[in-house]
Amino acid sequence: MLKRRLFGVIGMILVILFFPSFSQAAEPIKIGYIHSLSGAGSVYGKPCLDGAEIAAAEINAKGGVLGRKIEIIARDDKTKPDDGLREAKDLVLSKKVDYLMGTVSSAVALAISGFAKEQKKIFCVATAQSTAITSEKGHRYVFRISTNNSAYCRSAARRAAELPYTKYYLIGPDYEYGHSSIKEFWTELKRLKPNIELVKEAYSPLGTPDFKPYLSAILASGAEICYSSHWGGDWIAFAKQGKAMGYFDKIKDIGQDHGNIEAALALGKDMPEGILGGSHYPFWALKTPKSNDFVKKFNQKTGMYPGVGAAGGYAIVYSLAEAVAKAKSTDTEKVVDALETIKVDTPVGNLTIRKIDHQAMWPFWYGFTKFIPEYPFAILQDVKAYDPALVYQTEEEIKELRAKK
Amino acid sequence: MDFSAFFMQFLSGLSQGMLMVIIASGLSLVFGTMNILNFAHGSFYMLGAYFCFAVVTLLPQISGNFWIGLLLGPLVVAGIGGLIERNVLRRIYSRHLLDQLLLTYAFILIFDDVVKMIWGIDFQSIRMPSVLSGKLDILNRSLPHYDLFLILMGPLILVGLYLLLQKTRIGRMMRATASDAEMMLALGGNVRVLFNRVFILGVWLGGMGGALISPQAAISPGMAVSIIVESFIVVVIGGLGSFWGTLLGAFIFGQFNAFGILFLPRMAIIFPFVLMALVLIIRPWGLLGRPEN
Repeated sequence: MLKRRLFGVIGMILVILFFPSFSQAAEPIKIGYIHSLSGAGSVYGKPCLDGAEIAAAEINAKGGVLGRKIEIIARDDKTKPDDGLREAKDLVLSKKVDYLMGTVSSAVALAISGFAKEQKKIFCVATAQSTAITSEKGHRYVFRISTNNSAYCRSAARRAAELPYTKYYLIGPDYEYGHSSIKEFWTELKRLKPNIELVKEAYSPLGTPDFKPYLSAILASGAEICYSSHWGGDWIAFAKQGKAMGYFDKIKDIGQDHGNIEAALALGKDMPEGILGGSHYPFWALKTPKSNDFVKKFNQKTGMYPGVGAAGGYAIVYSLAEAVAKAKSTDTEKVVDALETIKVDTPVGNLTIRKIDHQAMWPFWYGFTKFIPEYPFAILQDVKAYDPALVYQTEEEIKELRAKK
Repeated sequence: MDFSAFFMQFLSGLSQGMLMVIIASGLSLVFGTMNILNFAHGSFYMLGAYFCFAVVTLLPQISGNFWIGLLLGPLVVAGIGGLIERNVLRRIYSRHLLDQLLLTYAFILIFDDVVKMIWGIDFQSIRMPSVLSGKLDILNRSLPHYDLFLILMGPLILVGLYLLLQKTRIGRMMRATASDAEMMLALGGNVRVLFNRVFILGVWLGGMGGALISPQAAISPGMAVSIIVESFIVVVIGGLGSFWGTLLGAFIFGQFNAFGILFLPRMAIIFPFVLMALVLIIRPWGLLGRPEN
């Protein structure tokens, strides 16, 4: 017995010694995944990991890339820059990962991006939306394969410009994101349609439970349309109280997160119909084979519907795999060059990555909320996305922002 | 701007104020009687909303499930409050105010995590009860029946509380303890039990506020923090421990907030704070409070 086992061991040692290429070929390509896996941000972090794992499983089932499998090592950043940076360092220095991806918090993304630049490691931002990550603070090793704030505010402005309304009320949560979204939206709308009027502008504290005074003030203001940058709990409270009041029958409502699937699921039948909401991934309308297949797989894995996080995780793993295949190497510099030129088939369509800021040209859709029997939440109807070149910051803008820095 | 706009704004502020009075009177009662600044009051409000949600989701087929949740949710929260008073708070009555704040603050963090473990981090929501889902049309505007219900619930609960404190034996004992706990003890009153009852009542009011807002708002782990700040403003304006002061404070808070939003929406956030600061400068004991000797 013992002899036979010894034989086996010696045989294995011989195989490893004489076929060094064999052992190397089995070494997986490691992607370090850092995202919010606990706390409020995990609404995005967990589906993003599921999306990435579905992509890795698909690629591995076809034999991997360059004969190597893809392995994802996941870490929780707890939505804190310190924790995110520490995990990134550990993944790169001791786990020897080839690439980094993840994060929903822009602060965490910026912390990791700085480290990636110093280490010359590719970092693909998955969900964080601050434009600064790729514009002012962009560099050779940071990519974003998701949308960004400027894309959805400017898409909203374009869609709003097509509507007949001219009297605007603007409202948002009282912190950086709320203010900057409104500024971005209004600047673009004013440029596209100068004859509009700003009736009033209001900011509510983040987490306001009672929106009735805001709703009645908007109704009294004489505005025809209200753009809001509320999201999550603020939007849910706003929608429920507004619907009870008949607010949405009198004021046209538009907002980037008002079609968001997480909020739509929480609101259920309380979602007002006919509001103009945004979506990063309107799978019910896209219906491409790639998207249908992804929705099915995601549903089998998690029992849920995929949103921005899931589609982003999936798209990043495919982009990296495709770039490695094109570069015929996992070498960082070659893969960076390849990422700038590839076209990746993803659930949201074919994506390219712009050379100037490494931002994926991910479209952002707007449509009107509507209940249809197929889904337990309100979908967006008549969804439309604009040419990404029109809604992302232009090359000149980015150059100007970088020069100012 | 026409009269109906003013009137609607008044009603919006009133409905917010009447919800605040329920929550803030719990905070004020506990402070007035027990001298405890209960920072965790916002968590009991959050738990009230979650337990109401839990009852509604456990009984999806029963048409009156919201009402059962509204009844049971705050009672369960009050029970938890009673246990906390008996096993934890009781030990620190003689300590410094700062210790009490730290301890009750710790409960905010604990309850936030417990809620995350049980219900997850997603936003939860329950539907408006069908009897109150309509709206009343007045002066070309619509007032949801539910807001009308909130406007009535505030005074109703407050009157009940007033009768309890004025007309019943336990109420009289609570008031006696509030004015002089040591004398009450010397006279043979069971202050321990009384404190427990007061705390349960205070927590019930917080839980009731949470259950009442649950059909209108997003139920989430973060909801404790925003409400505690507003409750403090109400109580400080009205006067800590003052029964009618809380009502006045909540009314003023609601109206200041509502009309601030109507006229100066960009700066509306600061109005309640400015009001609180003014009250603290001119009448530090609050509008209807009594100065400490």
